[in-house]
Amino acid sequence: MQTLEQLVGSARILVCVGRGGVGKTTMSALLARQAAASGRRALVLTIDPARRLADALGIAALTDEPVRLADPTLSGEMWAAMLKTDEPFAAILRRRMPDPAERASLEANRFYRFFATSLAGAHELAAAERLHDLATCGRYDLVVLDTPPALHASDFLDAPKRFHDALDSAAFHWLTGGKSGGRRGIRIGVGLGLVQKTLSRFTGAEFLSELTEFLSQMSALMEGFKTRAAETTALIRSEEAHFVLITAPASDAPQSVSESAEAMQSRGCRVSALIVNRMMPPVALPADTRALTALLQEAGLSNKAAGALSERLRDSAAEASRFAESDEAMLRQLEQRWASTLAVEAVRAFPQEVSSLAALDAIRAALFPERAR
Amino acid sequence: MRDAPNKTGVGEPRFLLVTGKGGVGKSTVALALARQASRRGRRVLLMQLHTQDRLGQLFGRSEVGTEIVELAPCLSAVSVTAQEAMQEYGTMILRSKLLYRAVFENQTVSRFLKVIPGLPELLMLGKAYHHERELGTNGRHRWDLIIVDAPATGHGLYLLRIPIVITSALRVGHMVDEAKNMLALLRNPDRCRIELVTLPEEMPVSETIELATTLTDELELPLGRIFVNQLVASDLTEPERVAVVSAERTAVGAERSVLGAALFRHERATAQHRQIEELERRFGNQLRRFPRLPVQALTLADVDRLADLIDLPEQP
Repeated sequence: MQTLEQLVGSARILVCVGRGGVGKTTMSALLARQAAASGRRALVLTIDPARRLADALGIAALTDEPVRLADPTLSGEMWAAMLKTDEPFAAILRRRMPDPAERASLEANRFYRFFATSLAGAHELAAAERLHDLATCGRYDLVVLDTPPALHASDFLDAPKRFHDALDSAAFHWLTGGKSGGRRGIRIGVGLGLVQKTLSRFTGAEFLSELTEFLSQMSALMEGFKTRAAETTALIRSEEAHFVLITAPASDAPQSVSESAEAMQSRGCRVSALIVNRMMPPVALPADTRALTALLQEAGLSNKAAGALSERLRDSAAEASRFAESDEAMLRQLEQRWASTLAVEAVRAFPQEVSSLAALDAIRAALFPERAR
Repeated sequence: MRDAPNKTGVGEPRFLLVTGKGGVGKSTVALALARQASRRGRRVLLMQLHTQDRLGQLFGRSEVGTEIVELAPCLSAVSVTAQEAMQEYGTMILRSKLLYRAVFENQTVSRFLKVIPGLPELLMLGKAYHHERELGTNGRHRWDLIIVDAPATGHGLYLLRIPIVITSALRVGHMVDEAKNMLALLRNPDRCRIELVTLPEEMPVSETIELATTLTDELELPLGRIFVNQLVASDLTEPERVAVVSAERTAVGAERSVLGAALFRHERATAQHRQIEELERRFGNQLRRFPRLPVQALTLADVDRLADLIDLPEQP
């Protein structure tokens, strides 16, 4: 088992997974920055980073192409790129279909726009393809991927296969009269005519024939896809790729962490670290409010005002303390379950969103006490 | 923009669709809306589309599945899956379970069906639509209110776009008919509202503003209320804050800790306030505020506390 610091120092790919709102983008940036601070060439591949975090990193104009962040304090290199999520399919298409005229003809298809933006898994697929390109291009020692938000973390892993299955589906070869259906020995059990007739009751015959035509066009285009999907999957499963689970200490954390870990392990991936983010800091409560009142009086409040305020502050601190204790209990529960197999780290909550390099480095210093200095 | 629904329930839309970025408490708000209405005697059906079920746990029973279950008086719930909606709808149209099975459940065909963009989503929405129209034995609507706990932003928008895309791309077939019916419901502000949920943080707020604009301007759907969740109130006036800052410098031990906690809370409240102002500028009195509850694991009583806040007039 490796520590998070060792992972950041040796992994070639770190995939950060977690639900929306747990600080995944911040953690991804932080891990890349730590790698860069330790001398590696690190790239963070993110999706729509929070505006202020982007500003803080100096990546306001971040694009699809990696940009190096100028920072003389880093002994290595830090790069950042943003996955464009509005048209994931367009990127895939550009790669497969370099001829602009040919591409324009496909894009003119009335199904294209809808299909391109909405085919299930297109975002995850685009992320996986981009990850493969960047991790194998030789310019980076480490690529940290901030995965697209998904209901299930495994969507990301299954996307290449699902996408491939769909487009290469023997079913539409068969429906469109292609030969591959036969070659694969499909025994559909009911006649083609019946299937087409039944389906077209739902979609209209015109839609069905146009769609099948469109899909078979796409399918031909996707010939090279199988190899790429296999390479991407192999890379993600390789020993150099590690998954980092990120969670907040919410009541359903144990369940969602288990689900994610199992989903990824069952797909042959290495889950190596768990970061419990947004832990409320512990609060010590005084036995009474006398000293507090005295302090507030010294700070200029009247006797009465100081007394009233210290009562309120104690109540509100008691509430904060309950939050902190419950977060702490959650962390212990997660550690008990995972600390023997994963590097488990806790990161405290900050009153504001992390929006400056200083704030990012404060978390980094807490996570990596030796190297961050 | 329309005002929030009145208290009587008369003239309120019967179809509410709740969406927002993942992790903002969308399902909690959907349930609070359901509790608020059902406790006043409206017969509510809460439909979970593609969302993880927590209702079972809250109501101390097994998971809510694809069969409608009554959770409390006037409150029923159901989970909708694409597969089950497809089967239900397919069987209804084909009038034959056998034919449905032969065609749709064939492995090869079902693979193909997965590629027809929007079909599963349309059928899930179609099921919600069906319940909105459904009549009880007395000839009145079976449900006074349908609340759809829709998928998070990206998938939620996708879901709402489906009927529009289908009606513009196709001319004939059941899919078009269904899509037209759906659109008539979704676009009618007397019948339907899209309710948004967000957090007072930068990313969720900017995403919500973007989402609202897409919903109203591009999709022409009626926007309802905007629920902002997990608000922290600062309990410090400015002179008090100054005193706390100054006292914290000299304090030690537990006193220092208490003062630090107060400043933490104040700083968070201030950061949230900036986001609230942003939301107010855009949404005005459509905004509803839900406080952060001092609990980690939500109970039904907590949800009811939120439900009680829905009708309160907005604080200036």
